[in-house]
Amino acid sequence: MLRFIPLIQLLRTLLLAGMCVPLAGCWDMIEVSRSTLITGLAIDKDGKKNDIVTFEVLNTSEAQPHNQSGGAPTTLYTSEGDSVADLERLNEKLERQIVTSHNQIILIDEDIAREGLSQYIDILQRSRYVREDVTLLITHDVPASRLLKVVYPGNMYASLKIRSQVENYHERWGGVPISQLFNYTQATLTEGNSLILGAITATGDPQVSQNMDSVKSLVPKSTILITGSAVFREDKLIGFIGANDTRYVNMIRNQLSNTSFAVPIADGKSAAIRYKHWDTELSVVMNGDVPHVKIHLSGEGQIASILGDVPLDEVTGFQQVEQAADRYLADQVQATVNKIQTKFGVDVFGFGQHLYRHHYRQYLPFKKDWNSAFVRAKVDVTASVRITNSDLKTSRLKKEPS
Amino acid sequence: MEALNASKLSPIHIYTIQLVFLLGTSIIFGTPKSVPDTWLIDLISLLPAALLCCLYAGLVDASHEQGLYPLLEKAWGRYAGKLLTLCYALYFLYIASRNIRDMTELVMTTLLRFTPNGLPVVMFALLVAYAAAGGLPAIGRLSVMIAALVILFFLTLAWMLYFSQSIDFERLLPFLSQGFGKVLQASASQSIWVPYGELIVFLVFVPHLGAKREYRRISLISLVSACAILTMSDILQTTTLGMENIKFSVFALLDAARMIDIFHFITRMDALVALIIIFGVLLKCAIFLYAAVKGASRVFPTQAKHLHLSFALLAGAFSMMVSHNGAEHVAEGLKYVIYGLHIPLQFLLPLGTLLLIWIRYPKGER
Amino acid sequence: MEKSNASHSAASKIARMKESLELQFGHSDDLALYPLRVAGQEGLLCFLTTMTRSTSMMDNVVKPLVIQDLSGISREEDDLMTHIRKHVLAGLTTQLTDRSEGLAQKLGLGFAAIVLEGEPNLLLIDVKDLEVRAVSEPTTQNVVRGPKEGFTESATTNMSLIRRRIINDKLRFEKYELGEQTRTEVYLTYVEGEADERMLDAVRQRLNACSLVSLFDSGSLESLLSPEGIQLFPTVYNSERPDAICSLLLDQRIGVIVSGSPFVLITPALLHDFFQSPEDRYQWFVLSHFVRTIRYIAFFFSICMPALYVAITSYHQELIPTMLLTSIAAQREGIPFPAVIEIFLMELSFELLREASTRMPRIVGPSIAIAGALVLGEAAVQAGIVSNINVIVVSLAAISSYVAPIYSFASNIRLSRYALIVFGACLGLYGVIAGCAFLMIHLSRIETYGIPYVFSRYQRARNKTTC
Repeated sequence: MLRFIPLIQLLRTLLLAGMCVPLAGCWDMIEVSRSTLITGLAIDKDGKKNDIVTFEVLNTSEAQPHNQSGGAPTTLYTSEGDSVADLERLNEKLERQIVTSHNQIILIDEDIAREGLSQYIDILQRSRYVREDVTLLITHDVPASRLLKVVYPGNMYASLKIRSQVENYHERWGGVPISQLFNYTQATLTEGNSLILGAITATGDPQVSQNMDSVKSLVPKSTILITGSAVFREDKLIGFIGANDTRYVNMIRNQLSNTSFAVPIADGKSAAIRYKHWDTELSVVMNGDVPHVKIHLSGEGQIASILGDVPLDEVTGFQQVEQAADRYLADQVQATVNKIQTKFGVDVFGFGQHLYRHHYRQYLPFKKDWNSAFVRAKVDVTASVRITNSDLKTSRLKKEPS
Repeated sequence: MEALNASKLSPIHIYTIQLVFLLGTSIIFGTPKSVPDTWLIDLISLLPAALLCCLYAGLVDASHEQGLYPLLEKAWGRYAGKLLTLCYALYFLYIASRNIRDMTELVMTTLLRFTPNGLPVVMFALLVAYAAAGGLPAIGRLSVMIAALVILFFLTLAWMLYFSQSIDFERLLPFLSQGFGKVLQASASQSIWVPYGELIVFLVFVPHLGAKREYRRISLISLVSACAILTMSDILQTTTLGMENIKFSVFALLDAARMIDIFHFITRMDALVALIIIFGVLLKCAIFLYAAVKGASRVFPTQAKHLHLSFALLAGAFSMMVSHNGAEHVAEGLKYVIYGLHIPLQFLLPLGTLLLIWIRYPKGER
Repeated sequence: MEKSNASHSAASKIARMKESLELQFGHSDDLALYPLRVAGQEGLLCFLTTMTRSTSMMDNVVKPLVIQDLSGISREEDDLMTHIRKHVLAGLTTQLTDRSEGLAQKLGLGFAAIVLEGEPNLLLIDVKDLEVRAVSEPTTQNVVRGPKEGFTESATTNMSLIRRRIINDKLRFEKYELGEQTRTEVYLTYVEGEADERMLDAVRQRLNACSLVSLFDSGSLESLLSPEGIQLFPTVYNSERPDAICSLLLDQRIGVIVSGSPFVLITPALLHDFFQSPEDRYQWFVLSHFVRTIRYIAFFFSICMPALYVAITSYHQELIPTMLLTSIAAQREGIPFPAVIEIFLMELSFELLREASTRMPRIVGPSIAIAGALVLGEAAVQAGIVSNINVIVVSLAAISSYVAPIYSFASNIRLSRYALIVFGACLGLYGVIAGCAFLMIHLSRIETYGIPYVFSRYQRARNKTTC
């Protein structure tokens, strides 16, 4: 008798909860073993109206280091359509359900970029499946799909390789800007800040490099090369800058952490310095309608190699290198700013943004067209580098003059 | 001992219930983004909210620890009072349904896609009914768990965003670009009523809340902590996404959480946001449902325990019928509901009641 | 005249009693009816041989009675029976009664009865002396550090184990006899002044209202002491460890000792109790807090892990880090079942394995282990029927569920795991969250004798003592 009442209650509860279960049709269920990941997208133009979208689709079992059987880690599919939204239509060619959420990179052909990016971005941002941290790159000189057509040793697939290449390059040397979807969003929305994205190209023969056999060669048949960055006005591409200039842009935007320079010291000799803990202070004020920009670069360095005879066992030796480095950096940065001002006329450094944030009233009159003010900007660069040590050795090794 | 005054809530439970109640949906949806300095709106709303809270505390005093419904009858007479009681019950039910709608909107965009709306709503309604039927002490204990979870998840989000270097305090600038007036206006027209004004529902529970002075103290503390957390949430959203960006997002905290990226491994913490809102709304709805059922069982001679399930399902159904799409839902919430429902029922009517009590029952007679 | 009458009736009384006992026990083989002569009077000694030992019977009762010369004693103050009680059998539990109705039952409880010809009263002597298991280490709740004694099947031993830990005159034992057929001894134990009077009354009422036919283990009493309705979580604590029980008794709880069961019950139990091992108090408090946190995490794992796995892998691929997802996807490649079925398959086989290894004779243990580990785990993965990750998830959940210090807690919560898997499979993460929310509401709704299951005052008192 004791056991019966709970039993009836239990049945009643189960019935109520159980009613929900058959109602659920598992609409949203996607089995991982019956679906496939899209890891990369490349958008090209076929010369006419249509876009050609190339999808890099992962063969999961081949992409695992321990159970590959020699097949290609990814397969490329192309579809011609008016928009990327037609993604689900890919099943025309592909047997599995598509999971787009793990897309790593989006490569956009420079021809398309010149016409404007916005038409492609909205679909990406709106979907919960695509993250703001997806890498967005502009291809230089070669069609975007070309970059996906390279296989690498260790069953690495193109998109993963490119992404990690871009990140490490940015992290270690700074030759490419942070190039994510979020940067596009930020540049579009915030005031006084123009978009730059990473630019990338490929060398070698696509016909050979897309064959699995090319992995077996000691010399890569084709290489992906990061060339620097692509500069935009609004959302339209207006040109490219090289890796070195990109590095200075990163430096001014305070997005550079580590890099290395060869600083000329006396007698045409140079010292290589490895930098860390880079920090940039910016100050922008309007003087009439001329923006005055003060850039102060500071950081720590370590001598990586030295060719001239600098007494690195003394304080003066360090000071000598420091002064040379300061001068050199200030000049270089100044040159880059001037180059961007004259050649592109868009504020990729975010001077306007800084003015907007810190001197809102001064910025207001130029809100409509900040770039015209940017061109007039007077830039004053100072640098103070602290050389902390000279690694394992002091001065350059040589025989003591007797 | 404890069993004796089981119906009285312990101060900690009152605090956590009110805290979760205030955070509920606001922590996700944030303050309406009509002004760039959203976090300031939150901070400033605290003052009028505290005044509103004092008005409610005055009502607690006037009701002689009887609660809102008996007070209405006392002030407006038996029939008008009953009618007003019914109004409040419906109002609470309506807010509950709006909250369910908020929750479904988020769940349908982040967790599910093809599943028909009705199913999660029905499941949720059952949960709400189960929670409300447990009575106030059970809701109190539930609120402790939920408060712990919500705050834990929120802090985890903040911490992770910090570690993925997504937070940039420069994004809070320019400060007050549109002037102070706009901030005041936004806080007066929206933030006070949602969520702070919704505290009126606690007047129903006065018999369970303890002495007036203590209740006022606890409410103020929970107001301040809720305000602090909401301000933090807004600062978090702005510093991660930028003030220009959050205007475009439907769920700002969710968009912020999507920026989390630690070593490319700890990413995609959407689920935490979904958890915060589901749990928050669960408690909020349970409280509203409990209050609505209490009112209805007072007007109609029915036992309260028979009403929970049907009222919960009603709120669920309401939540689906109440608006056609997200935009309508938001527009309704920001415009019509505030002027048509919140201000009369959260401010005018309580004020009128208080005055009427003072007039009808001079000091000595009370 | 009066005396002869009495002797006559006594003689017939002995015969009558003998007859009635033989009838009642149906010539049961353990019924001993021995003639006896005390102080010159004919008598009858009756007892059940199964409830005592002949040596102790001889030493304690028969020898003193027979050897001592009782014929010359003065019979001024006391009658013979009272004299025997006071002088011969002093120190034994004895009882004088003039009613013979309840005799059979008394014999069953381990009493011996002496009937003398000339005496109107029956003398009942407690001679119970049973084989009991020696106090040994508890088998279900092990500790590394702490007392190694465990309760046994003997209620007396158990009470003594408690009494010797709480040397306090406020410790009470109240006796009940439950079970219509078995008349099992049940002792209510508490510390007067600590335990709430009204709660005690409620427990007493429930024990008195017990309508069980038989009672062999304290487990059968649990549902009697639990609040009405269905609880997914146990509301009665049980332990084999005297130290655990004693600390709870001092913590205002009420204990129930059932004769024949080494598990002593404690009510009301709180969620917190089930995460506490007695050992927590014997080691560095930081470590205890750490271990307790681990237990809570394990509890979460054991309930949610498989459900989360199903929900996330088949609904929310976007929430899994890319590398992990590709790894999972590669393992699931070619697996014929959907993730839900796969999980259920493994869970079911684990349940089978667990049940088999609990019930099987010890001797065949290794063969089950081989079959379980090799055939089910290794071979199923090798054959591509289940994926590695699935086995990992299921075993992690299984291991986690046995982290809980109290076995009954672990086995109860195991069931809600299956419900969560179903929810997770139907609605993805939303289903799992809803399921967890249900459990949370359920937890907050449980009250035992008006004491909430979570966040109640006991817990606070308890923490104070811990620190």
